[in-house]
Amino acid sequence: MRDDILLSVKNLNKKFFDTEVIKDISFTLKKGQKAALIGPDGSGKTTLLRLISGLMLSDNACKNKDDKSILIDNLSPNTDLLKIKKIIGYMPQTFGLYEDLTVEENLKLYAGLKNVKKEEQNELFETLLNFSGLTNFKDRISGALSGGMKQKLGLSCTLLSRPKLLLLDEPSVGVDPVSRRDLIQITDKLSNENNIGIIWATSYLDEAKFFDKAILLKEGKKIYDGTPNNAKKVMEGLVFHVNPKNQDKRELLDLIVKNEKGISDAIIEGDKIRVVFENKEAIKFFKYEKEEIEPIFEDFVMCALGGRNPAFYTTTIKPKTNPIDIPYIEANGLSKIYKTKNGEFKAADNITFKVSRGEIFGLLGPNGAGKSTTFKMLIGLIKSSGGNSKIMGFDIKENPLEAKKNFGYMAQKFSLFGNLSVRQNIDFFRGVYSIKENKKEEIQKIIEGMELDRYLDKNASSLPLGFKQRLALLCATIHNPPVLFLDEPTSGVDPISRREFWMRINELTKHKTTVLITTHFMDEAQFCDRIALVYKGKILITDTPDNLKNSVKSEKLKNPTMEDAFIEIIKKAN
Amino acid sequence: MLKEKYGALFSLIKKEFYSVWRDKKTRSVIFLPPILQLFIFSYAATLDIQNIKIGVLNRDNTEISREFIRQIKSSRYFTKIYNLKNENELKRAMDEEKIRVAVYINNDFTKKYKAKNNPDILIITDGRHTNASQIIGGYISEIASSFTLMGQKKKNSIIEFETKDRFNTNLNYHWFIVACLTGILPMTTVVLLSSLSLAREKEMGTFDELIVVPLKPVEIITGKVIIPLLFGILDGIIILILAILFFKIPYQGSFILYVLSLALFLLSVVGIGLFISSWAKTQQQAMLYVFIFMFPAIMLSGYTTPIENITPKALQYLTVLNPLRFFLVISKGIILKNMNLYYVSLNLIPIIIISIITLIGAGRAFRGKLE
Repeated sequence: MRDDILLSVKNLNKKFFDTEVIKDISFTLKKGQKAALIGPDGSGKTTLLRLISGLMLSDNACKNKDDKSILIDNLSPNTDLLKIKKIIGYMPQTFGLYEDLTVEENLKLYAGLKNVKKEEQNELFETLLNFSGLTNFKDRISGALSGGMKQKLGLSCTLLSRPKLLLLDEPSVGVDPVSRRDLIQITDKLSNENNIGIIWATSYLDEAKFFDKAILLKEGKKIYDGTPNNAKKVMEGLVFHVNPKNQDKRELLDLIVKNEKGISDAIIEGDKIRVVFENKEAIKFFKYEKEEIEPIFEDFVMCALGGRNPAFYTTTIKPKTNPIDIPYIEANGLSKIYKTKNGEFKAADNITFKVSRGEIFGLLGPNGAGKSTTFKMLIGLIKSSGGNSKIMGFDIKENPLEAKKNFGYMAQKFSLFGNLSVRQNIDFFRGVYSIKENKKEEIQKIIEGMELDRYLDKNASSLPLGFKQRLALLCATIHNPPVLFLDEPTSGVDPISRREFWMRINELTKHKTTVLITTHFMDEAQFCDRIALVYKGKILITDTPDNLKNSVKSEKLKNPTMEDAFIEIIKKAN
Repeated sequence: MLKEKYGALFSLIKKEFYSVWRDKKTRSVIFLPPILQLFIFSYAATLDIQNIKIGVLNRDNTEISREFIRQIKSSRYFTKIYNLKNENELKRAMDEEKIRVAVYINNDFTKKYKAKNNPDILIITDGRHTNASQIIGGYISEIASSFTLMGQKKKNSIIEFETKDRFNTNLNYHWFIVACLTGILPMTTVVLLSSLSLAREKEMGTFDELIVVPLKPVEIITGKVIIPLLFGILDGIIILILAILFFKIPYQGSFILYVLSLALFLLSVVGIGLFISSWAKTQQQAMLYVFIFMFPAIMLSGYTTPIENITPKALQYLTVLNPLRFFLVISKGIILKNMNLYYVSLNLIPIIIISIITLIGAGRAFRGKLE
């Protein structure tokens, strides 16, 4: 074994009862190397990390005590677990922070658990707090931290044992782009300065570019292992922009996805449509004018994972009302003021915007910036302290029932009634929206189109995540609302299901459904017609994605991404 | 028309029913614990004092004093008699809780008895068991007085007692307990179901869904009230049936009046449950609040202690806030003595007032949470 190799995984297998979750995986990680572990839900990311950390034994290790399919610093988890525990740090998806303790108390607790000597503790805490930027928050109750800060604290606690190998399971889920970038920079610095090897599992594909290598899993198999750059090269000549010109971009996207063959991915990017072909052959048959562009890592992943699910565009829920000539969503000086010990806290301050028929409007912003508060005030989940919100002209405070009949709402984590069956969930929403019996057939068709029919009698909580999302969308649109509110609708969902979801949304907007969405995914932000960036309770700017990107163009940033735009605008506001 | 007007509410009620019924754990909470508790309470929690162990220190040791001891022995309360030799032995037996009570007969007992000069005996009881000691002391005094009377044979000056216990001729303690349990056990179910249902929705995030769909707050509250209420009434009826069939309680009153009173009583409990759950963020918190509510509610209901005996007096006034206090009067009244509508309604009025207050309170707290 070469000296610079920290981790070697060789022909690793893991079966749960009869299902193989890890199929013959091999790879190596050098000292100080950073790897992104990418794959859809259920592809085996978490299992792989748990096997490496010794929390679980592989199939071979169960049979053979001397099995060496996993070696960390030449130690095997099934023989030298105690030694290995000292050199690895594992941060699970939900790190067990004690939410009632302060940041410092959490560190102390974990330092005690990890046998860090008392006299070393203070110095170590200082370094870690500095590192993670939490120094000013060390007396804050950790339950009151934002999602990003919690992850940084979790990371700090994991680092207490000064590991050589750091295993992070989806540390960036639910974390806003600014904090995500922070978190990545922290780990970057870690691996450079202390020569720590890092495996970072994620479903945010755009994160891969920050890593030395990317390992792509699909159904328990490794399908790619190499640098993100090499992956991009594979895709060269296969990625194009199509300019819709006079045609409606959403209609065009629909046409391309439905009628063209050999396309692995097609999404809206600002004013254009990004089309990724499966191979060179397919390009020849493509009948629209196109312009070649530089591929990105996501293109490769979408292609490698098998592209779009072909059977997903059969929903035909159309908004019912005839078009009227008013803004479909209207926020007029919405404010929310909380009284605190030291006076007032303005969670939202004079938020004003209008969304017209058929528009997709995005609310973006870091965690705790006030976008959730705004979102909740708009639909009446929180009462505003000032200003008003109107949906289809109905004031949510004064005429809540009429307003509520006119919009659908899909909550984060798809809050469905878990111990009701799929059918009972649908019946509930059908009932509360007083939907006529004669619509039953139409709904049945949609159920079949969403492939929910085989789950009808299963509990909603037992559905795979992607299907939960479909059910949530069906329930939210069952009354054909002209307006749809989506609160981080794709959080924690894998890339393939996310694409599928957006094709459904695209179909809805084709029928002129008005959509308001919050998201942390920048590729989803590109899908919006207009974006409002919320920061510190105020709207910084409202504009189209393309204009936002162009506004931050500079010598240094010649080709800014949506994420760059987001981060730059926030920086400027500070 | 009816369907159009109440269709949404009906869907909500159906949903509430399913979410209780389809969850195995919740479903079993409705039926298993009440039935189990019915049996445990009615067998274990008896206030009758029986099977008493008694020590006797007889300094007199004559035919007459031995006859007195025989009288004690033959009474149904005492199962075991220890003959003690001296004071030390008496002290030890009591310390070790071998005996609950000791009778000390002085050596002048026979002399005084014969001289008709009021012979005295000393009864020593274990004060650690306040209530039991009092009762046992009473038993022995009763035996002693009838014993002396028998010797004195002054028939003409004696007032003869004849006690008749109405409604429960044999003072069967089960009857009292089971009649009380028909109120207490459904109350437990209802307060649990109603307080957990909102808290669960908050935990799962489905509470937001309820707010966002076009339901009026009144409809949401109604939906939340009905299912726990129905399950509570069902519980009450099951317990009543078991009481009649299994515990052979001579059911006296009107069944309809009973169910009506039970429903009104449980309505007030649902109000309390919903009030609790509007404050609780998680099911765990709701559970905790339920316990904080349950103990005082039972203690201040007249079930364990008659309300007139509660001191300080302020606590007695507090019981008027407790719907269980009024319902126990009704349930005992209807079940054991066919209480009539007039007296039932006297107790129903405070229950109705409490229901209105708690439901309005719950509704307000619930709407307050929307803001």
